Amino acid sequence: MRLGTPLVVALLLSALGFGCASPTGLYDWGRYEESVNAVVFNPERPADLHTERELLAQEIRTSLENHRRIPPGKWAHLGYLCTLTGDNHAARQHFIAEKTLFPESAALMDFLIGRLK
Amino acid sequence: MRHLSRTLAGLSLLVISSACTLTPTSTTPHLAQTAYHRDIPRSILVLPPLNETTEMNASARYLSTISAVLGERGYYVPPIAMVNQMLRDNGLTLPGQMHQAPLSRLTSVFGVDAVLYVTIQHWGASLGAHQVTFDYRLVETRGGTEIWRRSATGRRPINSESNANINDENGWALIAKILIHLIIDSAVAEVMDIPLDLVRETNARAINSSEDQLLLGPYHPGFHAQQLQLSLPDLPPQD
Repeated sequence: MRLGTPLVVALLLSALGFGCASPTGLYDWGRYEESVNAVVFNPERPADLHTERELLAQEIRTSLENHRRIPPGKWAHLGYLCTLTGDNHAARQHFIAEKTLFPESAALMDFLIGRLK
Repeated sequence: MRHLSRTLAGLSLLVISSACTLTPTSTTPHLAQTAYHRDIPRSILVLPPLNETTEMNASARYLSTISAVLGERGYYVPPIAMVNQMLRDNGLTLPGQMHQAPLSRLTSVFGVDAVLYVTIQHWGASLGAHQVTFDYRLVETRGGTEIWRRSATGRRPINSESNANINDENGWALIAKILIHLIIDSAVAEVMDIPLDLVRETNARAINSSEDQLLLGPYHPGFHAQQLQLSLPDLPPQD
């Protein structure tokens, strides 16, 4: 009987999710996947790509300001958009950012940076 | 006082044990599945899926549905649109060719620990519902061993989305609607188009569901608890 109260309180607390990380929402995905779709289906429309690039860059800035994590691939995807719009200088910066954030991407990012001129 | 401290101790123990259990469930994964836990991949390259259906755009549309699911599971996933373009630039223009590429060739450029091969087995609308079926095969790149495999189907009645004006899920009602659309305008494509959130849901179910789930990746907050649980020796059976 004495054990009853703490048990109930503990169960209530655990039901409220105390101390548990959320199962979703590690990253600010934003429009990343939407942007993938746009690029895959519209690679030959530079105007759209410029808009897409600006939207994505703005999202990344907002995530940084809010101390939210940038998801894997998003920064490199922005770099890819920059290469498509002919801005290799910006692309290099974004590839370096991806590599800094995710060391797993180092081989690919170094390969890409090496090809930029 | 003694009573209070005992209460608090019991309380905190329960809270600690309930905190940070593995998501979505804490069921012990199967032995075959856990064989690779000592060498869990950090990064997964997703190749454009092999398309076994007649829907021409399925493979390209699938590309925007898998990165977030794997990322939230704790893995690094290379930017998939760029990967797709790089493979094409290197002469692998069709998913079939990409899936045949030697692992050494893929790792030399992408430097990944594992490759996910997806096959689209079904992608279409029939009898008033959208349906997709995928087969997933995860292969580690060092030895070429398959470390995870499963398939998943997602199905959703068409009228549960934007077509609320059809109230029954009867196949004839859909056919009637399609005929009407054929006459009035060309909105059939819209009805037949698979919604991408159904694809995402199906991917999420395959990867996160408690049965044969993909182990958590290193960026997941539950990763270390999982590794600890999997590395503990089995306790001897009680008498």
